[in-house]
Amino acid sequence: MPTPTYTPLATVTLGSAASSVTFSSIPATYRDLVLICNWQNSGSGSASRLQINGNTGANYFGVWMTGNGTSAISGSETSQTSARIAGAAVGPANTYSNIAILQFIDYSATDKHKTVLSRYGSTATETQATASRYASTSAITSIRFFDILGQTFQTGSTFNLYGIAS
Amino acid sequence: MLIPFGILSAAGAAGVAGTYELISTTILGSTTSTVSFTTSSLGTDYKHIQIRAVLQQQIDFGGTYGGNIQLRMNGDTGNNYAFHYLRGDGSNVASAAESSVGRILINRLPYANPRNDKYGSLVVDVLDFASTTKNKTIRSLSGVPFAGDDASWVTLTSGLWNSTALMTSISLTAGAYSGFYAGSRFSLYGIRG
Repeated sequence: MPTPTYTPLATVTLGSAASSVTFSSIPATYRDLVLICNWQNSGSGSASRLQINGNTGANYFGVWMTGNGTSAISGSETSQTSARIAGAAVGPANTYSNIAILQFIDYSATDKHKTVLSRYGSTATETQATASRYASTSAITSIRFFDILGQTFQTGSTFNLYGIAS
Repeated sequence: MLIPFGILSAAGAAGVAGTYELISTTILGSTTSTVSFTTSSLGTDYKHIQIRAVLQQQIDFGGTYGGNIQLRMNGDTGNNYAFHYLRGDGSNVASAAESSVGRILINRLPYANPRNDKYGSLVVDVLDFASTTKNKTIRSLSGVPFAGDDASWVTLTSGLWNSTALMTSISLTAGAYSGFYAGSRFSLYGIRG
């Protein structure tokens, strides 16, 4: 029998500016996770990143491609302390001009490294697709979304975490 | 964007129909060349389908990387497909297209020999799969960062099956001289509309 899924697990709507958003105590009862983010940065020079299970070791790898309206480029990272989700993004003031959808595939598996597929878009700067790998076979129990360059997510920014059934 | 429809209305409770539902999951117990899903009975309940997969491909016997993933519908091997892809490999962005070919190609996911713990991921959307007035379109996002014995990339693909027939099945084939390793997982979801 089909299993209804895409279950809302948690929603964060910022009542004040925050430097990061963390989802913790994620149950291992789903197959995949989907994180949908709609946020405004505090200023220029932002770079949104991801950490898993509080792991700040050099365990993150990624490859991305970005189009900024002028050119399309691709980049990669190895052995980083976080995974890239969005590059420099600003957005007009008081506009939630950043949106990202992150797919955590097989997040609760304990025999695989964790892969994250993400799509990001900013009305101000770029559209981007990224494939990231967290080099650990541990199940994902927490996700931290933050800005590595010191910017903050503004009031009203929303972050929604969903579980996809196995 | 891979946004399922009606996600905020998904009930999630057992026995209650939701907007987005898991239909079936296949986890491979051995290396397998093709994974298929039957969709002939799903059209009365669902508008669109989505395949979510985590997989690793066995390197071919000759040690040559040749096996991009082949997507077909209804077992059709005729030259009834077209596709575009946009791919970043960490250095360059490449794009290509084919038309009137026998399959939609999705860029290969990590090759490894022997199998290891680094897998790639794939999400495929098929819109209006049960329509008998529209040709079938797909879109996919896939990627593998620094895993296996092959290069890294992230790929966006759009594809067309030039047929208005009801889609009764959809298959993913590992490609020439290749197979999906044991442990690879393929799940089919239905989206109501």
